[in-house]
Amino acid sequence: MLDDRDRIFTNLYGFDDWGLEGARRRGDWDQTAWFLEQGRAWICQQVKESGLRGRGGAGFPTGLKWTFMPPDDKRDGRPHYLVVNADESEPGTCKDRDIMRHDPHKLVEGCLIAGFAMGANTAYIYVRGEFYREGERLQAAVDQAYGAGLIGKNASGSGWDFDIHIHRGAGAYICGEETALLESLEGKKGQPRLKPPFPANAGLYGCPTTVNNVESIAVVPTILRRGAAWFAGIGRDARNTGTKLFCISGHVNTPCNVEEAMGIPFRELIEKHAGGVRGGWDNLLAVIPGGSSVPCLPADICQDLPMDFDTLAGLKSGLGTAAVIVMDRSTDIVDAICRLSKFYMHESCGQCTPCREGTGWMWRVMTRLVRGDADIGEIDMLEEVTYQVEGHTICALGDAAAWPIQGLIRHFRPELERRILERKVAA
Amino acid sequence: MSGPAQAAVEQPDSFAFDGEHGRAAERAIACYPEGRLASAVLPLLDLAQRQHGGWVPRAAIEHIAGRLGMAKIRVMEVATFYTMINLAPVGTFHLQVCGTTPCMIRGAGEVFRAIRDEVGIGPGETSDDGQFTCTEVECLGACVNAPMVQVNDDFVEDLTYENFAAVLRALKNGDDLPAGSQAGRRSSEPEGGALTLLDVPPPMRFDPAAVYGDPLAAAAEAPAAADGRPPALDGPRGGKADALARLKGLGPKIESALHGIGVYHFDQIAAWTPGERQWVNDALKLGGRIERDDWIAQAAALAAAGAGEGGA
Repeated sequence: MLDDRDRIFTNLYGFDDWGLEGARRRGDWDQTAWFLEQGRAWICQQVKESGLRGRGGAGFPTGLKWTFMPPDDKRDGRPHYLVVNADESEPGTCKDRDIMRHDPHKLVEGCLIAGFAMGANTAYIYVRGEFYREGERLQAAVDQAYGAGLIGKNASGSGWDFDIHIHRGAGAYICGEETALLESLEGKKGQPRLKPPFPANAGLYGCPTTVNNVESIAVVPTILRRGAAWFAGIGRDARNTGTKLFCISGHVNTPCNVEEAMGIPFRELIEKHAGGVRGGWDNLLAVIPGGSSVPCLPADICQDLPMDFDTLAGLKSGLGTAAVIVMDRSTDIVDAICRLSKFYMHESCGQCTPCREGTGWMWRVMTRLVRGDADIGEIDMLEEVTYQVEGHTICALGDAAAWPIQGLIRHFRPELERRILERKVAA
Repeated sequence: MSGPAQAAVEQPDSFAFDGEHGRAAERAIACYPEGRLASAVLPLLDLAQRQHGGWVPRAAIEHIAGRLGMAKIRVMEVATFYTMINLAPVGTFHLQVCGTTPCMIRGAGEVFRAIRDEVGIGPGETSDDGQFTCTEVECLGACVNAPMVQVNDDFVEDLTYENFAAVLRALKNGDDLPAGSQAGRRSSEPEGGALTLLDVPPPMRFDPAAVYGDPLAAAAEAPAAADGRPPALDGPRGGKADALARLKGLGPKIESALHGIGVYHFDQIAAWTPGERQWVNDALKLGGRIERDDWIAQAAALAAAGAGEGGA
C-alpha cells in the first residue's frame, strides 16, 4: 500500500481545513515563484520526466501536451488560455469533486504553474453545473488566492499576471469532451469541433488553448516540489507512473475514493481499501475498470490485474479515469450495460448521424437483449453496428457508446444467448 | 435533452434581473474578454432560473439575448441543450435522482420507490402541491456514495429506501435538508472510517537545492558515481536471461535497460551492494524503485526458488 507520506491529496476526505491556511500547512503555495523563475521549458521538462499522463481518461503525456503551445519566440499576439476540465461526468468518476471541495488550493496553484508553463495569463475552470457547492468552494479558494497576492497581478511575486475564472456548465456530459467544452465556454451548444485545428493552435476564442483535467493540474505543484524522479519512481513501470485517485464504486463492502500507486493490482486495491467484493472475492462477476466508457472485464482476469493505462489497454479495456465499478453475481450485467447505452443515447449531442441514431438504436436492441427478446443473430448484428458507430464520429462519444457493448459481447455472449434461448423455450 | 416538459406553460410578460441577480450577472460578464459576451449565457440563464423560482421563462431568454447581443434563437438553443435549464416550473424541491449504472446497481430503484411512497410521484412528475418534482438524471459524479439524489443545489448520498423516505418527511415538515451522506460517513471515505491519511507527516519545506541540487556540485560528483557500477556479464548465462520483469516495479523497458548494462539474472540483482544500487538507480533513472519495491529481496527469493537461469 502506498505510504501516506507519498500521497499528494492529503486532505482528500476533508478532515483538515480546505482553505489557504490549511493548504499552506499541507505544503501548498511554498515558494511557487521559484518554479516560475526556472522558465516555461524547465517546467514542461520536469512534468515530462515525471511521466505524468492525463488523468481525464485518455492518458496523454501532460508535459508533452503543454509543449504544443506556441513557445515565447513564436507568439503572434493572441492570448494563450489554460482551460481546466472540471466537468466530471463519466459514470463512476467522482475524484475531481473531492479535489475541488477539500483541496482546492492544489488546483489553484497548479493552474498558475501550468498556465505559466504554456504562456497563459488566464485560466478558465469549467465546473459541471451540478457541482454547485464545489464551484462555490473553488471560487472561495480562488478569492483567497487573489486576496493573498498568490494569483492576480504579479502572481506570487513572480512577475507573471494570472487570472482564474470559474465557469459553471449546466448539465451536459458531452462538455467533458475538450472541444465541446470550449464551444460551451464560448456560449454555444456543447457540440465537439473537428480536429485539426487542435486547441493548442486554435482553441478558446480561436486562441492557443490547452485543456487539462483537474487531477492532472492539481498534482503538478507536488511533483515539482518533490522532484520528477519521486513521481516517476512510483508506479509499475516508466510509462505508468505516479499516484492516482481511484474511485471504487458498486458492489464492494465500503465504496470510497483513495489515492494509490499507479498499477496497484485490482484485488489489492479493493480488498485493502474498499472492504473487498460484497459476498467475497468469488462473488465477483465483472469490473468496469475506468469509468463507463471502457469495456467491462470478467472476474477471472481481475485477480492480479495491474491497474494502469497500458495493462488495461492491452486487455481491450482502459484505465480511463480510474473509476472502478465493481459488479457482483447479483448484477444483471446485460441490464447494467443497457443502462449505460441509455446514458450515451441521452448524452449524444446529436451532431453526427452515426452517434445520434446509433446510440438510440443500440439502446433499443439492448433493452430487448435484457429480456432475451431477440434472435441469436442480432448479437452479431449489434456488434457490427457498434463498429459502424465507433470511429465514425467527430468525437469519442460514439466510441464510448460502442465499447461497453463490445465488452459485454466479448465476455458475456453466453449470457446473452442463454436469455434468448430460454425465452424461446418458454414461448 | 431538457428537463421537465414545457407544454402549456403560463409565461410572464416580462423579465428583468433584480439588484442582487443583476450584480451577479455583471460580475459573470466581466469574467470574459471584450467582445465575448456570449460566454456569459450559461451563467445568466442560471441566475435567471434562480431568480424566477427554478425555471427560465421565455421573457428571460429574450432579456438575456438583449443583454448579451445574441440572437434570441441562440439563447433558446443553449437553454434547450443543457438539462439543468428548466423551461417549465419545477417543484420547490427538485429531486434529481441519479439512475445511471453505479447508482442503479446500488439501489437507485429503492430511492424511486421511496419518492413514490412518500410524495406520490414518479420520474417527470410534480406533486399536486407543487412541493416536489422528480427527475431521473444521468450520473452526477458522486458514485462512491451511491445511490444519491441532488435536491436543488445539494447532494444527498448513501441512500436507502428508509433514509431517503426520512429525508422526504423532513422536507415536508419544513426541516432543513440533511445534505451529504445519510450513512454517517465523512465525504468519500470508506464506511467505518478512513483507512488512509490517518497519519500524514507534515510536509518538508521545499528546498530547491535539496531536490534539484546545485548544478556545479552535481557535475563534480558525476564521475565518482561510475565507481559503483555492478559487475556486468557479456551475455546471459546459457544464452537465456531470467524474466526480470517478474520483479514488482520492473517493466519491459527497464528490463532491456538492465540487459544494456550487462544484468540478466536475478542472482546478479540480489548481489548488488548499496553503492551499486545507487549507481543503477542513477544510470537508469529509476527514481528509488530499487529500494521502494525491494528488488534485492524479491530477486533473492526468485533466485532461490529456481526461477532463474531462464526458468519460469
